[in-house]
Amino acid sequence: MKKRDMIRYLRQADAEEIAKNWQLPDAAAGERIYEKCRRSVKDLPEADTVQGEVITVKHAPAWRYAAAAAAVVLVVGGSVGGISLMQHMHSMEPLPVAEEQSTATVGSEPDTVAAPVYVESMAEAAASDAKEKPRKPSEALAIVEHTTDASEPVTQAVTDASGNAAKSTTPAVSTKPAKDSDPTEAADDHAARMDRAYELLMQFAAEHEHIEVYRTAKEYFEAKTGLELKDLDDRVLVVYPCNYEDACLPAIKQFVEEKGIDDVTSTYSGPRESTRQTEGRITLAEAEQICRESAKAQDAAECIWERYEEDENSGQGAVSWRRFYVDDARTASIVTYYDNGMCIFYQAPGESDSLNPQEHRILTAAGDQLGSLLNWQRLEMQKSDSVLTNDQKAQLRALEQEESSLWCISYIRRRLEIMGAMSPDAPHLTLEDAEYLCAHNQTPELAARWIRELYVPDYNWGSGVDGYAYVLSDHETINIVNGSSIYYEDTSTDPVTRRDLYE
Amino acid sequence: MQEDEIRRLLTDAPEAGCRALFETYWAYAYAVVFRTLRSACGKEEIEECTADVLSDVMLHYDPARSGSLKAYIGTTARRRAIDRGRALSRRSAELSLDSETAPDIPSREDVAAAAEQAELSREVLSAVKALGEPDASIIIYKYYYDMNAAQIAKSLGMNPITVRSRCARAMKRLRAALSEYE
Repeated sequence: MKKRDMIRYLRQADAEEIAKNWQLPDAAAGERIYEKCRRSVKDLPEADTVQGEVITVKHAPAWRYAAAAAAVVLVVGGSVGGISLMQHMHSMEPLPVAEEQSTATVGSEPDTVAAPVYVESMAEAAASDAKEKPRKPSEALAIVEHTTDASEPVTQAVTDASGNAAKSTTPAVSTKPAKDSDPTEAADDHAARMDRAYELLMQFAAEHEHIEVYRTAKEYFEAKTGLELKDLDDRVLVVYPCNYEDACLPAIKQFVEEKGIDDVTSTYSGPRESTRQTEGRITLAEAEQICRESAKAQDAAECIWERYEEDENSGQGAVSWRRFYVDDARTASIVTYYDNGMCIFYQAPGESDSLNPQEHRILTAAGDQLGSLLNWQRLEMQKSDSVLTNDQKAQLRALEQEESSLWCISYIRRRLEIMGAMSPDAPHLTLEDAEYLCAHNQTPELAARWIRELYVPDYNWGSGVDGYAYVLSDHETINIVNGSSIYYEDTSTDPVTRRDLYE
Repeated sequence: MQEDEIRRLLTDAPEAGCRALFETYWAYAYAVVFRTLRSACGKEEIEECTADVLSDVMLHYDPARSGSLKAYIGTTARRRAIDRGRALSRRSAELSLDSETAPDIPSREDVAAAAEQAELSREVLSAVKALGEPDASIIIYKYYYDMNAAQIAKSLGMNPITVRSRCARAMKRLRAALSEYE
């Protein structure tokens, strides 16, 4: 047979045989195709890694699901025999699968995204002050690993995100059986304690709508993945949404202390920057876009709600208001609520949890909220010595007519531009803008707020609790400290000179 | 996963069923689409078409009535690919009569020839399999999936030069194995 004919027959070979015998060379093709399918077929579950006929489901550690569901997983009880949940979470070993799933292998693959798993012992958490511990994506993953022999003391290993050994930072606290006890008895005892803890926690969960309790890691994995797994650890998992961590964690702590459940070994929380979250969760930019494009604040709120509903963890807010976490879930949120009209505002990192929109950056508002803002701004304007031309007055009238359909801050900014109080094309606040605002506001707090409000194009604000620094259009810096001191730093001089704007 | 199991899942738990269907058959659908469209468009279009095929199947396949799932996917893939090829090519008539798609849609007059061609394809594929790995994969990736040596090398974790030399040797062995068909 000639080479040309061989190639021709080969190219006409049975596709089924080809697919069966040779894995597709482009391993990522499956995932891409699946994503395309998902867009066409409603409710198709999220993609895992798919390779040829042998399906490799990406390692699905607890934190991954915790991340996907924006949940926190508290693990109650140590591992006695079997395979450690924590080992599954970070090891390269495959997870066990049911025998009947012979065509599928569930394996572990290192995630390309650094996993910001934070682990802390409950005891340590209780002992620490009320301040939240630092939880950054790059911080180490701590694996609290229990030996299979219950008589051995708890050992712990700590790895960094890439799995390398790192410095231990989180001591495990677990009520393990005494060293000289019989392992079998210890296991029985452990199981009995876990059963008891499970019963108690189930009762607890029944009274708290956000909290879920799973008797074993197997239950948890199966509930989250739909995969049938061999039994994993004899542990009780308490799962609740990250959004409600502030509400749930103290309650759980109090409960387990009261009931003497002292086996809470670890807390796991997943990355906020996962693909799912950037897809499913709302970002500040998206919220702003929605607010800009919505004719009414109510429409914007409903759009945000609907968007957020795509996330399986949504819809858990109170009736009158809902809080939507943006990319850095722990520190920033979009709040929509009804109170004297609809208002949507952004809580920047470090800001208080107050629901008073006046304390935050308002994305859009309606009814009295918008009215109060505008009235306040009008009062401020009346105090100024602005003499408007007829053309400017006409522009203002036209603007006022469409104010209800404008994004609140855009409207106010535009007003300021028409009145000559703000540079129209300023990408950032100018020094003159800041000076104007300082000169026309009664208090430095109000001036500081307006500087913040009008510093719209830049999203890098809100970087600290104590103060904000705004880069001006001339790349110099204006600083606001505690909202009461506003000063301009002139870095062109040596040493840097500082000039107070509000005197 | 067996076809019966997927059909059951599609009835009882459509979401899981669709997932299982995809996992089991996407590579098959891709191979069918690739075979038809390889000369008409690029990888992205082929993936797009494969996704359309699988979406079609997920949306329209009725486990209770539609018969064999694999056959349904194969037929859908072929039809979709031919449609896509026609849409993409200004010379749609030529594409539909292309020698590569001909085995899929043999004319009544040429059934015997098509059968013979399919038989030869089976023989060639069988000879390729007999080459053993990695030579078989190299041949399939090069001549079925149209990959170049660098891509194959990357996929198989080999040196491109090694891929080229192994490919040449494998083709010689293949010719020898198929000498009776001269």
